[in-house]
Amino acid sequence: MNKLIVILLSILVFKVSGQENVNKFRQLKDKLATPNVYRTASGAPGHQYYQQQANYEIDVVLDDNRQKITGKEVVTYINNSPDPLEYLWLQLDQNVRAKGSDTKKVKTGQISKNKDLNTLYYTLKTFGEGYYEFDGGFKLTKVKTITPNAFDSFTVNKTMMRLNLNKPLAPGDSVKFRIEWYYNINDRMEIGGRSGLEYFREEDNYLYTIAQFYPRMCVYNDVEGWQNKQFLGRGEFALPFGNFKVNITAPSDHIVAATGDLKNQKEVLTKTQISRLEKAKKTYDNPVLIVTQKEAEEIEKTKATTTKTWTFHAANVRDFAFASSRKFIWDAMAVKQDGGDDVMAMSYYPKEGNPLWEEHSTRAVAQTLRTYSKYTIPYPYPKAISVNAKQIGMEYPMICFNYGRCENDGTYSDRVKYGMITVVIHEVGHNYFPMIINSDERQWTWMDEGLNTYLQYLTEQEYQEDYPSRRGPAHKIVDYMKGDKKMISPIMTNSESIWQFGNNAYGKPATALNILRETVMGKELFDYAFKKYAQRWAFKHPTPADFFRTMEDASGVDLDWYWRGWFYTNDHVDIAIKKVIEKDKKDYKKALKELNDVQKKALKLDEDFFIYQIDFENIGGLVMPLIVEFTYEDGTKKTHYIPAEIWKLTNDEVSKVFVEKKKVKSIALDPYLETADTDISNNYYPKKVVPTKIEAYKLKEAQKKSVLERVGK
Amino acid sequence: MLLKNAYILLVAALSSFSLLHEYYVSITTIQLHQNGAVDLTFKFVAHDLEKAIELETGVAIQVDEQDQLTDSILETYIKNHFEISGLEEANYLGREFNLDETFYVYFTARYDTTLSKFNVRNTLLLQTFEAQENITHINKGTTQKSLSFKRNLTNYTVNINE
Ligand SMILES: [Zn+2]
Repeated sequence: MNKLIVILLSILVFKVSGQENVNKFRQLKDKLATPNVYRTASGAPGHQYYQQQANYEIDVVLDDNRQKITGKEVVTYINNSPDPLEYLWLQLDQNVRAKGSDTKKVKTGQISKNKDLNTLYYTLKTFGEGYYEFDGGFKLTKVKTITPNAFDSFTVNKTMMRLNLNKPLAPGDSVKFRIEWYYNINDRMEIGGRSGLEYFREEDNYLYTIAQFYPRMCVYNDVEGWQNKQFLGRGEFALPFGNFKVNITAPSDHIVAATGDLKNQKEVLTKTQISRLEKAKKTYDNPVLIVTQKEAEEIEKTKATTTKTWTFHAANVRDFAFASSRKFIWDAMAVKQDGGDDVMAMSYYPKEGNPLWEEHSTRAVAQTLRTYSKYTIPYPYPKAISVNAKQIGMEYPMICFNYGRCENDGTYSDRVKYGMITVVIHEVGHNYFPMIINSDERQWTWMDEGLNTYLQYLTEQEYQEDYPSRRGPAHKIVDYMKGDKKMISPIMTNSESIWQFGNNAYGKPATALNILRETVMGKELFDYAFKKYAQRWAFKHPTPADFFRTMEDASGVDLDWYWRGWFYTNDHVDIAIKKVIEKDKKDYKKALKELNDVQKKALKLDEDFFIYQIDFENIGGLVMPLIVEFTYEDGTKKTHYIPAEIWKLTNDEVSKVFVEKKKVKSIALDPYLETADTDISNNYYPKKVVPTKIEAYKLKEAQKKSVLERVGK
Repeated sequence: MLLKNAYILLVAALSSFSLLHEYYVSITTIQLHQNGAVDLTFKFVAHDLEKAIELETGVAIQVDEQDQLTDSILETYIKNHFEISGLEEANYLGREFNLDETFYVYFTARYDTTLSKFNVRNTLLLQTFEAQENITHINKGTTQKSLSFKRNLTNYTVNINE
């Protein structure tokens, strides 16, 4: 009854006022899910929060002659939810490469005007539906229950598979089943992919980076039910946690790198390798080589006909991946971390990566673990691996695949070096987002890419002062933010529908967080809240609302306006100094005379004063703090920091009065480019001409020459 | 990033990876000075531009390499894809690469100061990237006109005095 009255009243109010509340500081209630027993209004897991568990025992054989994976798995799925489950869903990710997959069908394109071979090849392969066909995808050979009578049939729906349970799986119960399969490994260099093979033609060798290689359980939770949104290629993964026991059978001359602890090193490593590994566990300053380049070059000359089986166990991970090659050089070092156990940082790379990789890979891994654990939680796994894989960057728990190759003569440019360190930091960083703080990538790319790119920026700056970071600083997002609004999606857009993926899901959220930290909240409040989010949601499944709420709840800063503006709209920052009115003591002669002595003393009116009214205009739409720098006539400067709440009543124009003791010569708004203001030409009083890039270039070039050279003598 | 084989780059264009490189935004600034001089600044993301040039010409360049061949390939590519009416003597001035992958190419030119109407065509990178957007600013005195070029929107007529 009461509810009804409220609704009627509110309808009445809207009728009367004739407008909706569009104030940029209105609360986010309409956007965030209603808090419940699973997720609280404070952003923490609720008292009845649950998550499912999937444990895997996998035997997988890598066939180097046929470039094929054959696998068997026993999955134990535990229903921790309060709901009886009538069916189970698994992900068959390899099916994106199956003949006739939707991924290719829904790809759009145009016929190129260029008629050269490259373009033709590209067009046919990429868009030529039915033309270029690789026989990929899972070939299932067995899907059988082990738990008696659990199910008799299953249904494959493209990249998803449903097990049709005979009776619902009750809360607290578990089911065990066996799946067997094989698939042809895709050539990454020909048809792409997050995993696959790279072929080294000159020496007839392969380097395998293997992932999404087994049918994986979908997530079932309070937010999505079953997350069984089809895999089209871009929106990545959502996976439950579990324990893995994996046996990998590979040619006996291969070195295998994988998620988890190696359980049978005596069977697969030489005595020398084991003792080098022991030494690495106690070496904190430099990587120790376990397989040297010389040894690897010797091994890759021949091919073993026998196999070896490597056994890895991993606890509480959401996935498992591995790499295998006879080309691998292998190094490792130990990393100390505050409040956590020592961790091994490791790298596996072919000679083509050296000397760049032996110099930087493992060190970049170590730096990532140190920085990320400082801002989130101590790294909880025993190791973090970086594997060299041409052209890609892709992450899995404890292991990631990263590009970066040297020229044939072993040289490399700064550009290649920084590209490689950047990708290593980024992919190792993904151990935290989304591997540990396990958000739903299929739904929200920014939750892992954005948060990860933000910490990647901090790590890069700690790896080296003035590291040439591509994303993070406010001014680097300006070009994107000032683009055509018709081409910009809000950050809160599903992964498959985002325009300008890199800017939208990586650059903008990372920059938004960096600005929030440095310009809005301050490092202390931000860092505490961000860490709290990581602690609360480590080994759980957070949603955007859990992040937004935690950042507010833990810091005591109302951020609804910030989330709304930066994450739910495509507005940009363009704040202008519209007008400045100047007055000084002389203008108030008459009024001053009328003040009594007490008033005069209180206002310290024996000193000079100057009064400035500045009218600020919000052109871009995003409300932001005002950073106002006065430069006085004597050359000194003072900065006024005014919180964004100055816009709380009028969002598009505000006036502010400043009383200064010294006469002001000029005024600058956001002079150090900390708000991502897209047009700084309206940020100065009096108007200031900012030299253009080309003018600066001409000056620089001119300075390289003497005056006589400049005049042509 | 350092790939010499065109086919490999082609594939890169169709795969999506965790560390995304495609940015799909370029910025062109045309500064018309009162004395008839024109400054043209093209800002790209370096690897996007390299990929586009390689796809179109089959030639793999590295914009951080200082050689005249790279200069002439860049000049040709930009002149093929960018046109503004009424401009004369467009000269390639130089380029600047930064390790954060931003890349600038500069041209200078002359124009007839009595002109106020310009036809602008900008097809830079558009064939390569579906989501490419080329923001183009034309400045004269205190007037600024901003245009946004996309696959299905490659020509504009702009009047700087309006
Ligand atoms: Zn990523």
